[in-house]
Amino acid sequence: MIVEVKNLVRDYGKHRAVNDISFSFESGHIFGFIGPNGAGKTTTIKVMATLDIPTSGDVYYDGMSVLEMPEKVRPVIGYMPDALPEHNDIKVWEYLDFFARSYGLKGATRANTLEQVMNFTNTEILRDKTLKALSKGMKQRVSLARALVHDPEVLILDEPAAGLDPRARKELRDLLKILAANGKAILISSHILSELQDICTGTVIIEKGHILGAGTLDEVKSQTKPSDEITILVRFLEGENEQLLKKLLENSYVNNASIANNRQILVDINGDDLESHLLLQSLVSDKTLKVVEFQKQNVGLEELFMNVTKGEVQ
Amino acid sequence: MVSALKAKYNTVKNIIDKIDDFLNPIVVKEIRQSINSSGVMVLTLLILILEVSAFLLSFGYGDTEFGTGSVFYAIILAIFVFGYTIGISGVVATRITKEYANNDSTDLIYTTTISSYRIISGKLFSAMVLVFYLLSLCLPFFAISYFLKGIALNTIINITFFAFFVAVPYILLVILVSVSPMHKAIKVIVMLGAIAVVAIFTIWLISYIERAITFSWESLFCVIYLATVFSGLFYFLTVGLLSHLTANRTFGLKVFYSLFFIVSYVIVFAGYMFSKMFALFVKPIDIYHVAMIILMLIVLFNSFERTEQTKRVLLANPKNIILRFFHYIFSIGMANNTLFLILCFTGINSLLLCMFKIYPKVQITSDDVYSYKFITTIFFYLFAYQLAALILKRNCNKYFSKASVFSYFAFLNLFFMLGSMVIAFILKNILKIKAFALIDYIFIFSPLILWQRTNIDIAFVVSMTLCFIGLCFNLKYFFKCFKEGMKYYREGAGNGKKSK
Repeated sequence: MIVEVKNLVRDYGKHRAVNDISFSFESGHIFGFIGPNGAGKTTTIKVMATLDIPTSGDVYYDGMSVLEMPEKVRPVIGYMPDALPEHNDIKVWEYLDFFARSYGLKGATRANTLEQVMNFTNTEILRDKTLKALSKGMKQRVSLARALVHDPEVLILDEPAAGLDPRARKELRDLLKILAANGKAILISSHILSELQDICTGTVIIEKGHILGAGTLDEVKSQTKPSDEITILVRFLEGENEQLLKKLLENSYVNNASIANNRQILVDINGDDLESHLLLQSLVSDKTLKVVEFQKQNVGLEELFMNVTKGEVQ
Repeated sequence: MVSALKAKYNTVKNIIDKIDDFLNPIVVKEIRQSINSSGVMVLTLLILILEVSAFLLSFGYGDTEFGTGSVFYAIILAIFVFGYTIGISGVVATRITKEYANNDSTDLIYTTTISSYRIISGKLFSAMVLVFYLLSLCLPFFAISYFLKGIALNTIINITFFAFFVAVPYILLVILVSVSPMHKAIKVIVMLGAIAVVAIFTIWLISYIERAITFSWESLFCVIYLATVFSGLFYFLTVGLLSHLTANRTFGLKVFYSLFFIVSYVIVFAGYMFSKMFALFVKPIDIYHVAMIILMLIVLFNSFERTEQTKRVLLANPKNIILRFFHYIFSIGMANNTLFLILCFTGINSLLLCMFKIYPKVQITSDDVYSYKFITTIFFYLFAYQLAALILKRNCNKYFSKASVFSYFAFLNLFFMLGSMVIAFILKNILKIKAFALIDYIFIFSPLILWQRTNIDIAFVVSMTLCFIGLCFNLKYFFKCFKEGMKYYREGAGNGKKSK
């Protein structure tokens, strides 16, 4: 299943919430959809889930348009909003059974599917609790179970980790990894970037309705072109760090070098593995410098996000 | 023996499972919610207490001319009617309003494969289950009223049937109002109006008990006919409101209206042809009134419509040009709806004329003529204001981008309503001051109609002229939409490609 968002524009009166955004992802991948508040994430997700119509542009699921055939698109999507309704007159199993019926599951198939989904999401123990009696973490698990009840090929999750404790977050991460391994295409919108970093194979960064970067993490990294950063840990000797700093700045590929703390120096280099190698070689060949660690820092999702966004809200 | 029992058990289980699968998911959910909630239990207890109290109190009327039975029946009937108009509809409205106040809750239903038709049918059916439950609470007391004497059995059956039947359009109106994007205060006003209508109907029913009149087939026909017409109208309006924004949301409403219109006229034609008595009970003008009221409600609904057709609807066009024309008429869009309205209005009037030509024995009184002009004038005014609203929308969009066609339509109605009042006040004529009380609906639409009844002709001509002018000013836009609607067709079922 390939999900393609093409030239999506959504206006609310004079205000343009989403401005010509395009990206795609496919089965087996988990894509992080990140951006500051008011960036247009939920608007995009609503269009993707057939709940809103764009001013222009379209979203395609294996070529099926959300505008032209929303009824055909719905069975392939599992949409999980950031909040679950708070009914005090409906139990968890009744709620899940209702959605299973709504997706057309019948008889024994429905019963078996519900059992499997409840086992997978560990909601079996909650079956007789009302929705209002659930904690945030429990609600998110029930919400995920609801989104999975019809075995969709694509999962669209809006802030699934918001309000969860560390254990619940880890459980959610593990579940999503299993789902992606089972061939589902997953799009997650989240603010907790450290959570996404471990599981995402790609990302879409959005700000003020514009896409700032989209693709696999490496692709986005190359699109945004942040310079490689190398952290060098040195044994502290008075005056020596200044000497090291001077020596580092003599190299043509070093953009900047600064003392991070009394035992660490951060170096920005203009280049990649070859330049890193040359720098390491020069440091090791100098017997006076006592380098105990040379670590190339990976650019994480958080750094990537901070690099490309300006924190502007529409 | 055991295996035979097992086989029978399995057969029964299979049948139950099949019925369970066949059930509408909304009905299952709503009934489960009703069982789990305390609201229905409280309502049950309240109704039972009221009924027992009524039973005890009604003995005080034993010596009156009506008899204990009829008084007791009237009280239980009122408990039943107000039980569903206030109690059950309160439960239904609160639940739906709560659901729709929380977007996430409703959004989740619309991401499933369940259609808007099934959602509304489910809501109606589950509410009717509650009405039936309420009826079952009242039935033993209805039986007691018969044994207390003073009321005939067939009166009890007929009136109870009528009261139950009226619950269908009423519950549908409650659902329509609950899901509509209106302000809460307006919703409350509409609901109070609806309760008042049902209360008047109930008083009318109770007056039948007092006079001990048995129901005729004609009254049965009228109640069923009106209940069906308004049920269908509210049902399809609600479905239209809940359908996907790109869908052909008015399709059901238009098909229903066309069918209702055809069936009504077939019934009237057949009635005149085969029954000598029919003309005494049903006048063509009565059918015309109902048709025009529905046409006016469609005008109102049209104000909420999109100004352009959606791509999805355009691409669903059939290849055949004639079918494409019919598809255009039955599709969403203000231009499409306007053409539909014009065709319907022409059709209704042609058939009315045709009926008078074919059956000269149908007498036309001056009241019939006035009544015809009266309702047609209101329709013309509404239509003219809507056409004017469309012109305003197109020309003032750059100044008021958020204003919808309905906003302009409401503004124009309000402007002329207030204008009528001011002129009536300035002229200080008793007849004209009627406008303040808004007794006569026609008075609210134009100062011109503030004249006497004989001047209805002027109002009729003016309203028609305004409509004509409105159509002329919109003609270019309508033609553009029509051209667009005729241009596309699908090459294969649902492949989503256009011809050009």
